[in-house]
Amino acid sequence: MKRFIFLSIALLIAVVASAQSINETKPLRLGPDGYVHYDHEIRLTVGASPIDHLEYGWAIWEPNSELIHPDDFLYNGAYKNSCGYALSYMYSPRKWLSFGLYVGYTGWWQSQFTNSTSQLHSTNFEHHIMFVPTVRFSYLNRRNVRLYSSVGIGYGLCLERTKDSNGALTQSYKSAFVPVQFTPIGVSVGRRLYGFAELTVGSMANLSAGIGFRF
Amino acid sequence: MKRLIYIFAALFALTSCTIYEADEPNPDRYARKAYKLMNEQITFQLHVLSYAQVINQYAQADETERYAIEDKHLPRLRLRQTDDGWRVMDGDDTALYVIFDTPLDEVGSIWKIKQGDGAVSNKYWEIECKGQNLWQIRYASDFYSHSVSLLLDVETGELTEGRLCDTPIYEYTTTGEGCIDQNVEVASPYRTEMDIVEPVRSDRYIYTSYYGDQVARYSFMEGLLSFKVTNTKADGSDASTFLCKITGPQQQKFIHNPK
Repeated sequence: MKRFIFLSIALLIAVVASAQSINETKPLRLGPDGYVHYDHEIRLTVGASPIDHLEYGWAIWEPNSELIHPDDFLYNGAYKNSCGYALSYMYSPRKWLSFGLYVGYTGWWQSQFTNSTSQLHSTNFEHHIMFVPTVRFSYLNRRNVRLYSSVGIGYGLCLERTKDSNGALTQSYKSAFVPVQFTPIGVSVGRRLYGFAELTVGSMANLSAGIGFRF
Repeated sequence: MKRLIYIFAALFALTSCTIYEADEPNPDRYARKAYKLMNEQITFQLHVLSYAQVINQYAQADETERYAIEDKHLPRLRLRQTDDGWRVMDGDDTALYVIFDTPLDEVGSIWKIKQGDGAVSNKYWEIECKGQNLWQIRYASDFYSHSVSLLLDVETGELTEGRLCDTPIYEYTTTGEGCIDQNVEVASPYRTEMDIVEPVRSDRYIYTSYYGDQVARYSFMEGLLSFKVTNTKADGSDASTFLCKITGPQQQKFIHNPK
């Protein structure tokens, strides 16, 4: 799943980047500093430690009961997160202002094993897909370096699934949620093709980085 | 293009974070619960037997002896004789109802006992004298989340220094069997069956607490119990069995799937 997403986004960026080599008839806009201002940009973001589910995973707690419970026969495997991935498009009518949308994904999974034999019992998966309109404010715009902040709030879809040891689906559950992403500070380096890093907090990531392309 | 690939590869290295490491297997978890459930039920019956023995002494004592029994064993409780038996009173509440015709230590004597006001279960159970210092407890009761049945043969030993209001006050040696059925309406569908393989000796013991105080407790001291835990909604093929070896006060060793 992860490789599929990665490959799709990589190919998409490659296509968009190569399209710019065709004769451009639209006049380039110059900013106040004399350098070219690009109205559009796309980004690929990879982020770590989304804020959701930073608690305790799926609760095979020791159940809060003195009576015997099915979870007493199981123990938790490692609780893992895929990290967050997002593809975004932003439009900049002004050098200091951009707005657009990012489409993001993050996933969690955790297996349960039997206490007596350590064999796989079941695996829980949770997939989050988010559509987040975002506004970005750039407060430092140099030729190659920009500092900015951004905020976004949107719509998310959560799909929870549980599969048994044979891979058969035993439980499936869908729900909606409100993803929020707030970036107090981000920095991008580069002109058309650039890299960026952000200190951020939200449903997609708490620390993110990526590459983008302006056109 | 090459630079682009390197950048992607570097970003990709950030992926798939482990938020929490895996837990360690804990095969004793369900066993400890099963043992605790059964331990509590057996200890409760031994405590009630202690009450019955004190009531028996009190019923046969003269006035002077009764004062001594009250001072020693019942400083906070009162015994009241009614038309059909005796009550153990804790303030205005009745802790136990006891019905009997013959002394508890007379062979063949059967005492009926019921928990007092406020108890979930409202059924009498029986204690029968089988010999000198030997009683059989036949107990069956339904609670909101589970039902319990016990058939225990208990031999009384020495009187301990314990207080009747807190714990059993005699050293006991117990054999027998028991069963706890969890109510499928409100709990997971498990049945715990227990058989005492080697007699369980219970007694009062003293230990030093974390703060340096000498603390008294009542506990199983030695014995061997066999357990079988079954999911009553499954076909029984996944029943879990274990032995519980009591190695000391509050200490047990669990042996899973014994042959």
